[in-house]
Amino acid sequence: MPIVVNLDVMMARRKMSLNELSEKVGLTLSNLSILKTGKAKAIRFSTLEAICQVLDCQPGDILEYVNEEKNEP
Amino acid sequence: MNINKWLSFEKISFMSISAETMYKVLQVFAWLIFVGLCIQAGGFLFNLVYVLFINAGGAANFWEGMDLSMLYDYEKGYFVVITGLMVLMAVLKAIIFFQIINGFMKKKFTLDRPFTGVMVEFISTTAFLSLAIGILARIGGKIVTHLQKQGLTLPDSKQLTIDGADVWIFMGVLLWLSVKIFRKGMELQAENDLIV
Repeated sequence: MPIVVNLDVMMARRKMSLNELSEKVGLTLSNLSILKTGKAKAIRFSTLEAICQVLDCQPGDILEYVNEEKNEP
Repeated sequence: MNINKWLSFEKISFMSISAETMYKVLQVFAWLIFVGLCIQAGGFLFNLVYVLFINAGGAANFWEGMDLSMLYDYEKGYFVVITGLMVLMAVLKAIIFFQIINGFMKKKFTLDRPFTGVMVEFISTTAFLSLAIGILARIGGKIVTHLQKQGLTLPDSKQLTIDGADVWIFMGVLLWLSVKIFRKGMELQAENDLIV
């Protein structure tokens, strides 16, 4: 998928564990794991808002568009 | 505000209790019907074998006063077909109820995640069985009408327990449509699980 989730990068920058983020955001660990591993098909604005608030970042810091066609050799 | 909260809480707990009670009542009904159908199917089968191989006079009181002696005397083949249909239909009905009981016992029916492969399998099997019962009832009904036109005095389809063809076929078609809906529901549920 061309949308890459950089949640693990932001978590590392803020030195926050998955458990801590789960507690602060109010999401289950399994749902956060789905998001982190890039298996999620969609993300709610409310979830994005909560994550941005807790990690003190912008949506663009978490989501990134990567053009797969350009990257292919 | 507090009263509204309390009312909504009471409503939820009342609904959950009643749903649970209904679940148990349905389970008891399913068990009763299943046992009844098993007894009926076993009784039909035993009497069929008994009349064919041991005592032909048993046809006069085949099941609960049902007199099939005229049919037996007229043509043994017709007797076997009609009673065979009765046995087969009772067995198929018992299988439907066994499935329901099995679902209750193994807790296959969950309201939290209703669109599961198990549920689709259960409904599609029930739809197939309902259609089969409906078709068999239709065939049985036609044979009984044909025999009655020949001048034979026979118990009616209801007494022969081969009635309700239209209802079974209708139920089968409805369940088949439900299978289609549940398949779509499964896809939507799977997608919904991946929305965070």
